[in-house]
Amino acid sequence: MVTTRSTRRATRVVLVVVAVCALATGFASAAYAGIIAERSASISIATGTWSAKASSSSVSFIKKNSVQTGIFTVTNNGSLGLSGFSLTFSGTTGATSQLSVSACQGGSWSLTGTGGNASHTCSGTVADLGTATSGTIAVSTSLSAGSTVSLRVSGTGSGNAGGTTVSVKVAKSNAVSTR
Amino acid sequence: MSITKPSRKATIRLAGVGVIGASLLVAANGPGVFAGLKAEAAVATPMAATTGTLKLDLANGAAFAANIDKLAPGDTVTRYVDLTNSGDLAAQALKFKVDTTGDAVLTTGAKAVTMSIKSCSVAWASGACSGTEKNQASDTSVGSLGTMAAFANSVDLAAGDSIFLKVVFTLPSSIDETTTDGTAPAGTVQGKSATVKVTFQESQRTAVTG
Repeated sequence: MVTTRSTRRATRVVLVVVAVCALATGFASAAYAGIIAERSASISIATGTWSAKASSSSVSFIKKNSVQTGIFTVTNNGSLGLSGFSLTFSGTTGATSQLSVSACQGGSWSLTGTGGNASHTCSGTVADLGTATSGTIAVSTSLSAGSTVSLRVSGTGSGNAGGTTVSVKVAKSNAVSTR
Repeated sequence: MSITKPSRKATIRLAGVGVIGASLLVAANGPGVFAGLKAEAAVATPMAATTGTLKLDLANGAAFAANIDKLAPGDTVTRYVDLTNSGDLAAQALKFKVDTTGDAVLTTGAKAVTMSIKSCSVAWASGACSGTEKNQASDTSVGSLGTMAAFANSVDLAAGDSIFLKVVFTLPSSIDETTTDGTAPAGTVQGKSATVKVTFQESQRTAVTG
């Protein structure tokens, strides 16, 4: 008799559990039941690059009338146009305190003359791009992707600027959006 | 005169015989119940039952798919999608999800491209909505939208109705990278690419009993 009662109780429990499960399954299915229609569209997204590099990390200087000058080029090797970049010169002695950078627009700087008559001359138009006293110059010049600008750096300090290295940095703020 | 009470076994035997006999009787007479006169009724015109259709059409798909290149931090690119319920059933609860492939830096994390969605009750005109405009999804990195989710403001489309969506992709302006001597920093977002697949989904209206 006791066995029969416990069996019935167990049966009732099983039935309740089964009913609850069935109910839950029913509700869950209801949320996703029926017909669903979908459509997709894909898009490819690519980022640009903002980058520039000097023709050489080492700049050779010549000295004329207490002014030391060196020439080099900077090329925009990124995919975005640039509004400028920063140049950091190191290894100079004294000259770093009074540096200025000039671009030769529409042409390029070249070394002319020899010995004491040697100088850097521009075949285009000279444009002063900036000066700095800390060895770093923020240059503002428009430089489209793939293009090159010819630069001359001048130091008017009393030290020797020979063996100077130059580093080109391009910040995000220098990148020109195409949009 | 004494009456003998039948034994228990005899009673059970007798009951068994009775049940079998009754069953045979029912089986034999069964067909006879439906034999003879019959009467049937049918509707004059047979009832036709057809199912409805649920179909979602996407216009501007080609324009949407136009590749975005040379994206720079702070850039936003807008694409428009027109969704039409072209079936004959009403639809409810428009949802969307995004699947991505490609460079992870563009899909997850602080440098990931984000996506937002606005809806307009009429077609967008030069980026402006002259109808009812609603924010449907705020700026979220595309890699975080992989699960089908309902629009912020529920969109139900009656058969033939359309909803006009403005989808905006953004490369966060907070990205601040400096490239030195032609070398990008580690973990750069520059020169990366990813494919973003946006899927829209509509469900049939709630089933009715009629």
